[in-house]
Amino acid sequence: MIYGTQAVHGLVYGMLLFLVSSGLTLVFGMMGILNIAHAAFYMLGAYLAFTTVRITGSFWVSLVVAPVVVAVLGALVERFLLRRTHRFGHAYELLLTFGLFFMLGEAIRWVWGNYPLQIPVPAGLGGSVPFMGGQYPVYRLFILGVSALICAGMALVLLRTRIGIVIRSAVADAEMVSALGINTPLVSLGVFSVGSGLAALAGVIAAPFLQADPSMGAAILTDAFVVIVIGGFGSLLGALLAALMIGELQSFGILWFPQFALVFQFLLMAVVLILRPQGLLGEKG
Amino acid sequence: MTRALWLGAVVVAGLYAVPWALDTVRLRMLIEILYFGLFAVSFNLLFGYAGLLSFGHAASFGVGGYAVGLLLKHVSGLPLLAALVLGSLAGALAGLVIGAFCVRLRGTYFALLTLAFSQFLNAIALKWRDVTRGDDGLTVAVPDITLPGGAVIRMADASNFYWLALTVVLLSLWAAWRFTRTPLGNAVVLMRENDERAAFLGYNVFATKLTVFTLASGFAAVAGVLFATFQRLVSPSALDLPVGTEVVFMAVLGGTGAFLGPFLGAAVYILVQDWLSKTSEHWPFFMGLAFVVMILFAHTGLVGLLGALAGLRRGAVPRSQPARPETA
Repeated sequence: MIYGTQAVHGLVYGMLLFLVSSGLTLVFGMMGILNIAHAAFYMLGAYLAFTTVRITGSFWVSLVVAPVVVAVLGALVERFLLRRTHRFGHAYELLLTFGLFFMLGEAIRWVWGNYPLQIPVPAGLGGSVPFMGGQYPVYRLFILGVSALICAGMALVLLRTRIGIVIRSAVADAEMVSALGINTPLVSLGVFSVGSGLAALAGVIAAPFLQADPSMGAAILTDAFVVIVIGGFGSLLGALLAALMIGELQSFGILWFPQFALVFQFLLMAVVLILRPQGLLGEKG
Repeated sequence: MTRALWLGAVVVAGLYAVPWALDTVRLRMLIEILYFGLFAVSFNLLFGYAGLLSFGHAASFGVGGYAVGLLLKHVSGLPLLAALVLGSLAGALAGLVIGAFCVRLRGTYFALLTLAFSQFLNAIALKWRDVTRGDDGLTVAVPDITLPGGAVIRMADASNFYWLALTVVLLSLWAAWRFTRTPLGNAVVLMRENDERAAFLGYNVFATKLTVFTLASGFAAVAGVLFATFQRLVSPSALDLPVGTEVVFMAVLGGTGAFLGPFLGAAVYILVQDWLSKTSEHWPFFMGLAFVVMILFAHTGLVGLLGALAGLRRGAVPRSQPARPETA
């Protein structure tokens, strides 16, 4: 029984992690940039949810507002900061996003204070339901449902639409796609922006479950790194597999080896980088 | 040449005379600048010269610190200088092991694997409480230095510690500088530009990069050893991301294109931090802002801005071609 509950816990966190990692891995695939500021966007999503809920009283409004605001912010960052840095090389792009992560994190502390903020579970999603002979909180099932829905939507867009084909081709070979007359900078801008919005969305739905906490960015950052390394840079399916793996690993790791749960994932990431640097499903070496 | 030598001698003599001119608080800040400066220079051996961006450079810094702390705790009667040397060697050894895994990778992969190793060591330092004392940190008992004649140099005196740190840092900087002028040091720059071509020319890319990684780790450990003996405490945070990122800030701020650029960056970083932290409790925001602005408008750092400083320009890292293709 406890294993079943624990497995679902892992699944919930894994899906949340996937929402954050998906934007990160797509951006890396297209632009070769590991956007460290992505984790700050996730955190910003949670804090924007707090403020929106306080003003409007509705969680559902924040579910729309926060991702849109952050998507716009992401677009601005891509257009006015990252693109300027491109000619200095990848190392400086990485350093830039790193500086932004630092700045945004501190700005959040400045505006909202250096302590966790509680966001109430939206009405109708409180309480728990009978589940596998025990009780399970409804809100966690809600997280699972929403992230599965977004995951399916993403798969639909990427596999069944024209823009999806363009994005997948740009991940494989951006230069070639650009030579075929497609405005790849615009596609990059779009992917970066939507990816940022997804990170914020993950932050919003995580907020009632994990609170809005000034350290939540750094916590998800290392997890998301591990996910995209294990899954393979640029691979969405890889990110999904790896995110679920990490979710379960943490969930059961805490149950069985509470001392070493932290070490495991870094060990796993190191092993993957050493033996198979392209990750489980990545193509580039 | 003779003029430069004279100038150097005057600067060094001036540095040794500093304790008579500064109060203890400022002297302590200067000691911090010394070891963080060395740390930043060692980081730049990897980033500026070899083109390897490490997010886990704190690993060897922390290993050096823990090694010296454990040595002084468990080996009774060990002279301070021997502990300093052994601690630094421990850091270099850790660098050799970590580097053997990391230097095969490039770009983002390298950055992430170094990060994974430093996080791994950080987790060990946190959890292996019997040895490292976990969160509380390991207290470092610093013995005084006894000279052959029987005279004792007291290490609790900030001036004495300053002279020790200054000597160690100057010797290390000199050694690192000499290294960059060797054929091996030049081969490293070649590999930054194009390691496939270097391999075709017959260079052993792996061995060369590993040598640089080990050396850079060794110098970082020297800095870590000084840090631990100066603070008399080493905690898991010495191995953590904030320290690993601080050194990146310092190097980029000062300028990765010159040998002493990162040292200048460390000095400015520590002075500005001291001033900002008195002005605003949100000083990290302004640090981050300065960093972002720096990368956008002056990615060559302060040295690039003050390009006219003759002494620093002499140590220029060979520049790369503007439009070099990069692999991620």
